[in-house]
Amino acid sequence: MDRGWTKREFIKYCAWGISGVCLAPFLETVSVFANLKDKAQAPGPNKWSREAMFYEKTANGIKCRKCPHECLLKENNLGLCRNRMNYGGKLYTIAYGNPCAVHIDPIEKKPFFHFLPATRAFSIAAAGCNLRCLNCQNWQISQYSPLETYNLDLPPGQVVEECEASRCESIAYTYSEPTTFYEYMYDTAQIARKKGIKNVIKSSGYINEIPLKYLAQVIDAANIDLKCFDDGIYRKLSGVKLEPILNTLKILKNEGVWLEITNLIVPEWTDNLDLIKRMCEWLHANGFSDCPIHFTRFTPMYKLTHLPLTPVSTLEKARDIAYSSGIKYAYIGNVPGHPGENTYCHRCRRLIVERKGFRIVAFNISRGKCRYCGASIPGVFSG
Amino acid sequence: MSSARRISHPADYASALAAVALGATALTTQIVILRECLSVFYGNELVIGFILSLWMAITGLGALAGRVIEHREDKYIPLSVIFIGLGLTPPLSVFFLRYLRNLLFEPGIMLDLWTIFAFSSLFLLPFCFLAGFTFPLLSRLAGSGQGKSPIARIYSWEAFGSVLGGGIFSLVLVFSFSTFEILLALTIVNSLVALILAKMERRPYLMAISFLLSVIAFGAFKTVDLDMMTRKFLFPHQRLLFFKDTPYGNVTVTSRDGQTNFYENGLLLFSSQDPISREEAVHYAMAQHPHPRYVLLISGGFAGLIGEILKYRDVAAIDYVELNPALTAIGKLYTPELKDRRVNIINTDARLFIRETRKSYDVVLVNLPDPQTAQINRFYTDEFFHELKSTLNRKTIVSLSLTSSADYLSKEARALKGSILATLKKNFSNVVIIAGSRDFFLASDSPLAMKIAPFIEQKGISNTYVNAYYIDDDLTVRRSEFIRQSLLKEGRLNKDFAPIAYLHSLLLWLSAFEPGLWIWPLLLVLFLIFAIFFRTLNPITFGIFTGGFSASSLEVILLFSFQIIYGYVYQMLGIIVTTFMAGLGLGALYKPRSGKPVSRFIAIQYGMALLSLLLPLFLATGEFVPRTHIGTHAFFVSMAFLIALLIGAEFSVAANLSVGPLVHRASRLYSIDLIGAAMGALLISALCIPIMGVLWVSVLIAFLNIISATVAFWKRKEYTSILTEKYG
Repeated sequence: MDRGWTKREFIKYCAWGISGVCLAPFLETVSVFANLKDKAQAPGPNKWSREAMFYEKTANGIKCRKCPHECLLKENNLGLCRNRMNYGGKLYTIAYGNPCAVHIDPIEKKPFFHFLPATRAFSIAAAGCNLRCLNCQNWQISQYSPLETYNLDLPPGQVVEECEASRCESIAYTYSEPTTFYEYMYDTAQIARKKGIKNVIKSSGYINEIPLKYLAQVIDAANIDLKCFDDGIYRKLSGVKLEPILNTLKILKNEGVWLEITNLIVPEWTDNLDLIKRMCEWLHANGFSDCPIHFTRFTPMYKLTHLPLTPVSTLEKARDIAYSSGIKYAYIGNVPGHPGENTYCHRCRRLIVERKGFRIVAFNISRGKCRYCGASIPGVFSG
Repeated sequence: MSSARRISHPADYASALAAVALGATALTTQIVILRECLSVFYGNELVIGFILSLWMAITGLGALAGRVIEHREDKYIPLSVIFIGLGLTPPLSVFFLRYLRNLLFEPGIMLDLWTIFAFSSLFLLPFCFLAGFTFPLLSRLAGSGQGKSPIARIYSWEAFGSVLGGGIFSLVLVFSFSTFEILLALTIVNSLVALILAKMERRPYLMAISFLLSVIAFGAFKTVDLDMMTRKFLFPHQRLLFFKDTPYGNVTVTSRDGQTNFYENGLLLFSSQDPISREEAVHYAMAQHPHPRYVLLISGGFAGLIGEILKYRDVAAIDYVELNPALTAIGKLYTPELKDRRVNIINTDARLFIRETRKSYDVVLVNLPDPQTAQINRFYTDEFFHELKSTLNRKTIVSLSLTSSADYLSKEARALKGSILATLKKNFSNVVIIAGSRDFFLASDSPLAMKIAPFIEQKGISNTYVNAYYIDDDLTVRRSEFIRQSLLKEGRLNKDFAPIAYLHSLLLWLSAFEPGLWIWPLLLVLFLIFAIFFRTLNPITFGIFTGGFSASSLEVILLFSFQIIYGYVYQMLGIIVTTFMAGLGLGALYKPRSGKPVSRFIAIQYGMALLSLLLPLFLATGEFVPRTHIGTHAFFVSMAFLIALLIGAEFSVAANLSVGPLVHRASRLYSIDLIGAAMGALLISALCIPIMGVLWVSVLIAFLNIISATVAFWKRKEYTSILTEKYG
């Protein structure tokens, strides 16, 4: 029998109802705190999408062939790099013409010490990355999709125009992982080359052979992060394998792209001097003796915050190991004022490029040769 | 009160002694383990709230489980065994926390919130569960004695134990003893209590084990430096030069390969051979002041900043304010500039110093971490900048910094920096942002420049990093403008009592982690648990729940508000906490007159609602009603006492009103009280205060108490008839 509410029941239910309403804002905040935003689902293609290069259709979805992850994507899903998407049975890049970071940097900051020194690089990046480095400096763009970042509208042609307007001699594809906005980088680089602007990348090198060979036709220089010479540590630190990166180095060298290598020495992770020695010996044995290597100092970053800075003496030991292994040019980075920023002729050991910060104080290379002993200095010193 | 005087039965004596030991052990262990967890994990407000909440929730679960021993005949033996466990678990927990941290997780990695939750649950479980389990057992033991109201008595004695333990820890132990020394002392105390309890039922083996444990603990206390041994686990491959547990946190100094590293609570403060950090913190502001004679440095002098300041010939005096005296003491060993005659070291809370000083400064350097806790957030608020201005002249430059956004500002970073920028702009005519290894905010009523290199050159300052070689002014200006443009639309003011910046800071920290898929089933389980929990509540237990929630919330609000007004004054905060515990203990001794418990229960809750509103009323009238130093201190101490007195009395009355077997009642009431407190600890400081502000949080608490009182009022006849049936 429906008897209706009693006075007490009415008051009780009102009290519960008001409590529930009061709870609603907290559920919203709790969801924010629990970081429950949905990163996986992507809308369809938009203004900043292009059909991607290097993929194949399979019975189970689209297989991306750009990097060794070779993600198999179902409809409307994003790849591990967060900027390639399966839509309507085709693979699209959603990082085309929508960079989230656009700056001008000295080229030494990338770092490139043997490529167009004392010039400026027009630097761009779109969000996304196919690595998961625990110490990523730019995690706010690398670990996010272009769907989640504040982006500019800058198609390839406009990138080149702005580079020219800024009087930069090169365009640097950097900050996040440029191979993940491959098509954008590729098209921009093609336009830039026609205008005599150089193209440089700062990359992890985690890319498949065919895309890399295509890319090598349009870029002039690459700085590749060789984080460690141990596959197990590489997987833990960055979520990828070592072998493809070594392959990248070989391909770039064979394709004639100017190459410099960065080894960030992280305490407790990549500061093992035996591993550094093995790395340098491998580089020497595989023809990378002319390739400058930058040993850079780690600072606590992103998810690796409970570690100290790299001791300067560790960096110095690494550099000594590189020299004794036959590497001609080894530098120390992120240590202001250290003589390890300078260039010494590999033959006569005299100071040929004195640097203070990103400025060159003395330059003793003439037509690519040491002014003192005439030794040919590897690098690209003029446009 | 009268029941406490009639302790003559051995059970009364034993239960009182054991409850005091439990209270003392629980509070001391909580402080020590919380500090340890912050050192091993991360020390922001959310993590603090999570861990405190876990502590209380697990203790509550232990109390619920305590009813399983209801039918055992022996009363002393289970307690004796438990007290052995209470003595063993704290040092073992800390040992394994330090040992396993770098074994189970990658070295140096910052754990996400859910991993912290899971990992700290594991370490808190043994002690907290046992501590909760003990309460119903002690109530049962007390019930076999002569005294009345056993549940309330045990609650009271435990609270007094907390006063004793908290008092001794805060005033003595923390200054003179290390973590393991304190925990081993507790092991000895608990072993002796176990021995006494075993003796009550004449169990020689148990007595022998208890005695042996106390001897081993004493031996370890005297001979083994467990702190040194275990701290090495946290700093692998580094040589430990110095460490000390202080009231403000743990300070550790290590070295490796010629580099010296300074840590506070496990986080790196600075490393030697790092000119970038120390030069940027000083020169961006100092260089552009025409004649910086008087400088105020808030924190960081031991990190080499004093040496940078002294490069300026004009400098006549530096007031260096550092809260933790251990940092300045250790700083003097490694930073000789601290002994310069122009440097005046002041070990006090910087806000308190600024309010009291009559000096005027040319440059103020605020060298603090990001506002991730309520304590640090005080140096980024509207009220702080307003107070600071009273020490400034028109040309003064203020410098503070936030974590760099490198090449891009995320939504969370924009919200945080926008808030700080808006707060600065409200108080200063000019604000510039200089992008460096951190983002430096300079504020002044005089014009400011972003191009620093010309000033450095002009003044002939010899820097390793902040100079024309490393700082490309044009590019720096471009970056700084980029940051500024990104912040155009942001800007909620950061206030002392509405600390929005620390919420944004927490959200920025959280944005570094991806949610795991297991969060959804976990949230579903938690929702079901709460739904079942709330469904089983009756008006009495609902009142206890809101009481527990109110107690922990109001204690947080009191401490928070006191810090805002007076700064971080360690002794006074200890007095507030101790007074709170004392009030709890005294309140629990309250025994309502027969025939009136229900109306008293209702009245207490309405009283709680009223008290909840008194604090914001006091704070709101601060500008209009003059207050004295003593008066304000007395208000905070009185409020802490009164709130706790009511909570204790509410528990006592609830124990009287509830029906069922003694152990069941004790278990249920204690666990619900703790679960309410757990929710308060989690929600209030981490979520409610930054979102709603102190005023509205107090209103919320008042509202909750009004609801529970009203529910009790409507159900009063039901309980009156139950009592009539129970007592005749």
